[in-house]
Amino acid sequence: MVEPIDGGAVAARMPVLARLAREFATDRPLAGRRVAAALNVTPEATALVRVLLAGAAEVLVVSSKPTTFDPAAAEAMGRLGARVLPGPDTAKEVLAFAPDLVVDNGSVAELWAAEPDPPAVVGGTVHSQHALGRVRRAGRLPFPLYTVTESAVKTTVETAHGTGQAALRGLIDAGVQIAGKRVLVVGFGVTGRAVADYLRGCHARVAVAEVAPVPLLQAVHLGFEVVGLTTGLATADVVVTVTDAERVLDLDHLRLLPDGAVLGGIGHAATEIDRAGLAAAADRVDPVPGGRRYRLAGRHLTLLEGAGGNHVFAGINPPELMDLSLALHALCLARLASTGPPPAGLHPVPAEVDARVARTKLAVLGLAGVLP
Amino acid sequence: MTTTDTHPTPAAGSTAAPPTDPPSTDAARSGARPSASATARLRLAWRQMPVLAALRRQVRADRPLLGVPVAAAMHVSTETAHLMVTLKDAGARLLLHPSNLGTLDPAAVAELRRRAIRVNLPDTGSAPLTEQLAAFRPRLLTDNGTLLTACADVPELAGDLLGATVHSRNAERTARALAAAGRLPVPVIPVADSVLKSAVETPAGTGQSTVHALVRATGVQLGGKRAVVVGYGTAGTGIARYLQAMRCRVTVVDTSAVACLRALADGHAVGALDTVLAEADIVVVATGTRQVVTDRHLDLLPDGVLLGNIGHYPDAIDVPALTRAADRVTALGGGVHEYLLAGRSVFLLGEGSQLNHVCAGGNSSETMDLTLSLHVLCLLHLVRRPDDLVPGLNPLPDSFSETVARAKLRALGHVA
Ligand SMILES: NC(=O)c1ccc[n+]([C@@H]2O[C@H](COP(=O)([O-])OP(=O)(O)OC[C@H]3O[C@@H](n4cnc5c(N)ncnc54)[C@H](O)[C@@H]3O)[C@@H](O)[C@H]2O)c1
Ligand SMILES: NC(=O)c1ccc[n+]([C@@H]2O[C@H](COP(=O)([O-])OP(=O)(O)OC[C@H]3O[C@@H](n4cnc5c(N)ncnc54)[C@H](O)[C@@H]3O)[C@@H](O)[C@H]2O)c1
Repeated sequence: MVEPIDGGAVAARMPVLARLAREFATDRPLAGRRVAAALNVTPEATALVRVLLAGAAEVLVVSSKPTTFDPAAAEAMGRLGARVLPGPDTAKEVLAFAPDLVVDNGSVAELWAAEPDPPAVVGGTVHSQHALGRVRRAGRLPFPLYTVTESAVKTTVETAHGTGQAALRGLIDAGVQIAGKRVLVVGFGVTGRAVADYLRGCHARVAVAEVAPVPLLQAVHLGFEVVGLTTGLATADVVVTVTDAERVLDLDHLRLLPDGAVLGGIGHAATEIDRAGLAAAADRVDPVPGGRRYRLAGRHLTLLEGAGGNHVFAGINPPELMDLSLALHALCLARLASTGPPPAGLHPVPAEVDARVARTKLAVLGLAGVLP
Repeated sequence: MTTTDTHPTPAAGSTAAPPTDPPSTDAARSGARPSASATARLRLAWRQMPVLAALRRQVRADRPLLGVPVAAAMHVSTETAHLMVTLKDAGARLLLHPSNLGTLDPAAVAELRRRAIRVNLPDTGSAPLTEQLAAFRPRLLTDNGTLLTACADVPELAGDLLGATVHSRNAERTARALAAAGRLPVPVIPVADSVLKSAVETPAGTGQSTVHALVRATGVQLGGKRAVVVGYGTAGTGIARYLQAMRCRVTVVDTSAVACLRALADGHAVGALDTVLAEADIVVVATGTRQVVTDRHLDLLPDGVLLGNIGHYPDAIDVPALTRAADRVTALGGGVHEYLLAGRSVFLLGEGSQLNHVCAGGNSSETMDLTLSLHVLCLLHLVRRPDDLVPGLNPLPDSFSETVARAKLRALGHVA
């Protein structure tokens, strides 16, 4: 009997994982393996947990962040047969679980680096740019991790297009008419480029501010106006920050914005836009759709927020795209379990794994025939 | 439009081997003085290369390559001529071996000769390349693979070398193979690895020049046409984007599932070559592989289709098969030939060789400014910092791309 899954609407948008769940149930590639997965406890992650369990793993889910913890999803994971640790303070239990395989948000690597004699781990995966930074800073990594966050499928399809669409959605949810607006995109990495591209596609007038010359030159050649940050801020109707840095827009920057400007942050750092400084300096704060409106020296600025007051306003990556990277995790773990793991350290996702996920996605789109 | 029965001669398989009697070499052979407009075009191209021009001013003062023999194998164009002149101003002695006589620019040749830079043409001493190299004793190479291969066969030549820069993936593969076989104990820096090439020069340069070539060679109105791009790598992605911008309906064909998924997400259709050809108005091959459009596809090509290749290998489209199958082949000028196949006309651009080079002079000077400037920085690095380098392929230092990008932004009036 097929287990009913919660978050049905989400699961229906994750056909690659659904297909993998069927294949894993037959092949049982994770039989006898203990998997510790540090995940945002969401309906999307439930679809991954279901695949791991179908592959016959014993699964311990460690909640990545309290802000993204969805109790209904935790319950669904539990019903499927996983143990869920809501956190915080999960270190002891994770060590005691002695996982063979891990899906890491950086916390496992930190734990294993700090522990004098941690249990042996076969290997695992690491899922965000932020997590990768934590792993790198953690020091000696005693097991191999595949960097799912840097895979071709994840960067060129999921991150770029998922966040491009999510940014538009966040702005439109907040009642912004995009066409004709002067939008300043701050940061032109993989994600900033997609955000700029999607906004231009909806007929915004997009300018780009960057600190690095190579992405800036690329922006020039993609036809974007490039500006200095202070110049760009002075004429922006909308500002979106998409950097990997902290304190990109401080209070002095915010004072440059024209009345009525709308701002949103996408970078992982909560301090990318100085929200605390703005809140302290504002003489009035009102809730508005999608965020808060601040009155600062007679001008009104709307700062967008994600669900639960998250500093990332465009956090809702479509499940259709998360389907891809979560499938990469499942296949990387299966590969670690079946073939000899690579040496300890960080490794790119094997090209065959990327290709298999892409192939499966094309197949569910009815496009298997385009490949030889 | 002329109607003749000449059969085109497909370019030879190796870029080093000259195709037989290409028309554009005539002027060079006769040593004809280029027209005033050709000289003006050359000057305009050099103006459009501000990063290289700035390097040139710098090396003219420092002379960092004083007396160093540098051999280069590249397309002879106004842009590479600017590189040669820059190296000469740096004090180098030069030998330029054309990659392909079919793409030789007579104005560039004349300018190089005027500046006493030696270009290895069939009319100037026809000694085999290895003999010429043996006499020249290069210490640095800027290569498409030909020179490294030639030097690897001669121990004393290889022994002289400080290192080489290479500008294509194919040259990089050659260098890797030679190093793996232990035949080339010198450092090689692959300029093609620069993010400036993958993020700017190829997508913008080749995207624009391919679209330009299609329009210039055939006069086609692109809007509304169904275009098929075969190969969605760096080049194919740029070409598809430019075609889309010209309001073509683009379908992508690629053997990689990841590339197909990327194409879909970028808003293109995807399909299998065999099924999409029948509906195509335009087919551009950008795979960089051989034998992609072959005799089994010829029946699928619809009447009026424009067909061409921008990849490295001129046999990506099997031109001999096309020629065999044709009832008549007509040279239309501008690098276009019409093949009459059982009542259907197939218009082949560039005789199967890189159509943007043959029909439109290749990538813009403005984009080539980037990688050619990287060559200069790398050649200087090979001379100045030999201890930082290992034999075989060395990574291109990231800071070089940063430096060049910064200089370019400044020249374009953006402050970085
Ligand atoms: N919310 C989401 O769903 C989501 C999705 C993807 C990425 N992200 C986050 O978005 C951020 C960007 O991701 P990416 O993959 O594009 O990273 P990236 O490293 O490719 O790009 C970041 C860019 O920001 C630039 N930058 C740094 N400081 C700057 C400053 N002060 N002003 C202007 N530009 C500056 C850098 O030069 C770089 O080009 C990261 O923090 C990432 O975690 C969020
Ligand atoms: N004419 C120019 O100005 C110019 C400029 C840049 C690159 N190039 C040449 O273009 C070629 C491609 O370069 P690139 O950097 O895009 O390479 P790339 O490796 O990034 O892309 C090649 C793509 O073609 C696909 N492919 C391979 N064989 C195929 C087949 N039989 N059918 C369909 N798809 C296939 C690959 O999967 C890949 O996605 C190279 O030969 C390169 O030298 C020419």
